[in-house]
Amino acid sequence: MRTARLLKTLTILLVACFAYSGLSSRAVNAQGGWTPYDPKAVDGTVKTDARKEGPIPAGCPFPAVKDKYVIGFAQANSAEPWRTAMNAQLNAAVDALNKQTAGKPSFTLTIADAAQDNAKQVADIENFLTQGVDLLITSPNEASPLTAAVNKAWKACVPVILLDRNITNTDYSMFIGADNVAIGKMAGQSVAKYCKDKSLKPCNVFEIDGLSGTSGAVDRRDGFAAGIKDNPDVIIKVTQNANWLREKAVEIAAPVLQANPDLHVVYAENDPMAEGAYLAAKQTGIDVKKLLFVGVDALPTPDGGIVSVLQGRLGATFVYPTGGKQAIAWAKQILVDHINPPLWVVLPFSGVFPENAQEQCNAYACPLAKAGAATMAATMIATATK
Amino acid sequence: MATDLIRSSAPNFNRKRWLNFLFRFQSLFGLVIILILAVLFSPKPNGVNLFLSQRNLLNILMFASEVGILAVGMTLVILIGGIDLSVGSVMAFIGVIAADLLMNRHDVPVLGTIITVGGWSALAILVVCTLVGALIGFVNGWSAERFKVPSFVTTLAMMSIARGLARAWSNNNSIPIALGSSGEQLSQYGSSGGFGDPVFGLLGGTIGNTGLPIPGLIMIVIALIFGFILTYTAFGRRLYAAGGNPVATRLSGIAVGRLRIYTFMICGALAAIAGLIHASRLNQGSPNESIGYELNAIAAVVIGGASLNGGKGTIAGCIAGAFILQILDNILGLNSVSANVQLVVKGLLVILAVALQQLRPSTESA
Repeated sequence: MRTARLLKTLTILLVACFAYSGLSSRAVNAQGGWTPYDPKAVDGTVKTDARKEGPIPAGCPFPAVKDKYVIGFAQANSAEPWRTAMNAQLNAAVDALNKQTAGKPSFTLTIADAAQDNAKQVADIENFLTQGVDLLITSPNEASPLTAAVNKAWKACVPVILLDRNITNTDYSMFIGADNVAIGKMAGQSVAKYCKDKSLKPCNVFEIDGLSGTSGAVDRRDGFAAGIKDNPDVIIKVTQNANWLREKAVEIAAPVLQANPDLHVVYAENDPMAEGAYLAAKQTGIDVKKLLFVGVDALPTPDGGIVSVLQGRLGATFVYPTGGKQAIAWAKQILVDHINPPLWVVLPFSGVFPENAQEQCNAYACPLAKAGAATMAATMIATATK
Repeated sequence: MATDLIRSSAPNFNRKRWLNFLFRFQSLFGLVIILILAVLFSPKPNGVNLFLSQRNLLNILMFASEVGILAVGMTLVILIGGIDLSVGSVMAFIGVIAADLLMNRHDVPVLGTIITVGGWSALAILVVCTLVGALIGFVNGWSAERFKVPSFVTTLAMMSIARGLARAWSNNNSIPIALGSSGEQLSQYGSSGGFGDPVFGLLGGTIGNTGLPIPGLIMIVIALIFGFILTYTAFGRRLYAAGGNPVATRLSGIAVGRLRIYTFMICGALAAIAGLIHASRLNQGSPNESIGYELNAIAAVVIGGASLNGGKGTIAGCIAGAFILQILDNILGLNSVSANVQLVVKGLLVILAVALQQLRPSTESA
């Protein structure tokens, strides 16, 4: 009697086990259920469409439904002003999202800074994986060293969003950034126009590059070379490397400016380096009015590019959006709404020149903004990039 | 023995024995304490101790290996009363050379003809780079002996020279390394040349499915070799003697100067190996890498119980020191503590380790 009852309970248990495992495995294999993204709701333009199997490798389970999501952000170098702004925008976006969802689900953002050290950033990403973050956002310090770590995270079924800097393959969920080649090209074209207007033959350019292993440096250099082709008299006379850092630019610009009194344009791949070259020029007693300083970033901060153009230090710069807001928006869509995002989203940029600097300042609320003076163009730019 | 009888009558004899024991294994006790603290303070989501997870422990081994290899070389140098500040720059320089020789081909005019240098195999690069490291170590040691200046000065100069050479060789650029078969796609952000010998990737990789880091194995092998050399060979005994009392050692017929040069050469060669591992792990040879690694190596050696005056120190101690530093980094990272706090704690640990040495009883068991 007792053995019969025992056997009955055992068989019921076994059947229940098989049923449960059958059900759960079906849930695991239901990966094909990613919702396609809405093209009209994309903040920016789509350069590469979504992957068919979804933002994580085929065979990975759906991101689990939770009430608390942890997002890890591995920053390359928080000390750079543009990246400080990126961190601030990411934090602001997460706060806004939490207000919007009223805490159900809630999102926590943890930022780890690598201070331009590749090995440290690899360690940061490994720590995030050990901690078990739900989504990884990263701006790789340099492409080659970080590719293996990013791939590892992606293959471990953690969605990975790359911001601004790319890696050497496409094993990630999505890349969000502005088109650095186009920015470099617009910079080159504005330099070509400047040289033509001033009838400078030849027009000598001093190029200051960012950290050479970054996708931004490669793209802005290539774009600039293409842009100056508009004017065959423009030649890049000297190229130096300042690793995106202002203090490094001061160091390397001083001897170059002194040894080459026939320079007309200084093209630096970001604003801090352009400002550093400007400082170096002033310190060595060179007439800065004879030089055109071009940078990229145009942050609306008191020491940023827009104020610099207004105050006549920089001749041109380009508003380069950080993408922080977009990254958090897409993170929520991937984790909560299970939307399959496009692989590459391009954010728009705009030029800041002396003639439109005041408008840009008003649009981005920089310290020298004049209230009520925003024009239609400026507000359009503001809505497109914010 | 007579001295024992005299000593045993002293009231605090037992306490001295315990203190001796404690200080001899200071670094190992420190390691045990920090392991316990790490396990206690590890995040435990869903009851799983993250610190003790297999992935985390293997990560600790992987990241500690470069500093561990540097620390072994640094221990030898510190044992003999010197110091080597150039190891970080040597790592970067060797990384640049290795990446360049692996990926690119250069036409070098030599004696009228042009020979193509580059695209070498990983083994050739390993041998050449280790020799270059030994050569740099030779320059460090020889200049200290010849000009009778402290090795602090000559290695400080070499720190600058090696970094400058690295920057000049690579023209301030990072040289990306792409390994693999020719069928793979090359990204415009990666290497601009072809592919390098895939064997080079083994240096910084893991063993198949187990995830065991090869740099960790290399560190363990090097530690065992030099631990054996220090304890059981005449060379090792001479190092301790020269470090503890250089005058007496020289007067007893041992060439202390030559011994010093050998240790600097070993340190340079080990720094080269660490540089190769670093370049392989990060797939890049860059002159901006490994900044400050010499400080990590010195910190590991000091925390391991070596005396900066020379004559005291063990390989086991320096490896323990390297692990202590890495476990600290790891547990602070897992708890998402700012990296700045890690730097401060590292500095405090070094001061603590050095201060503890002052409390060491002056007589030790022979």
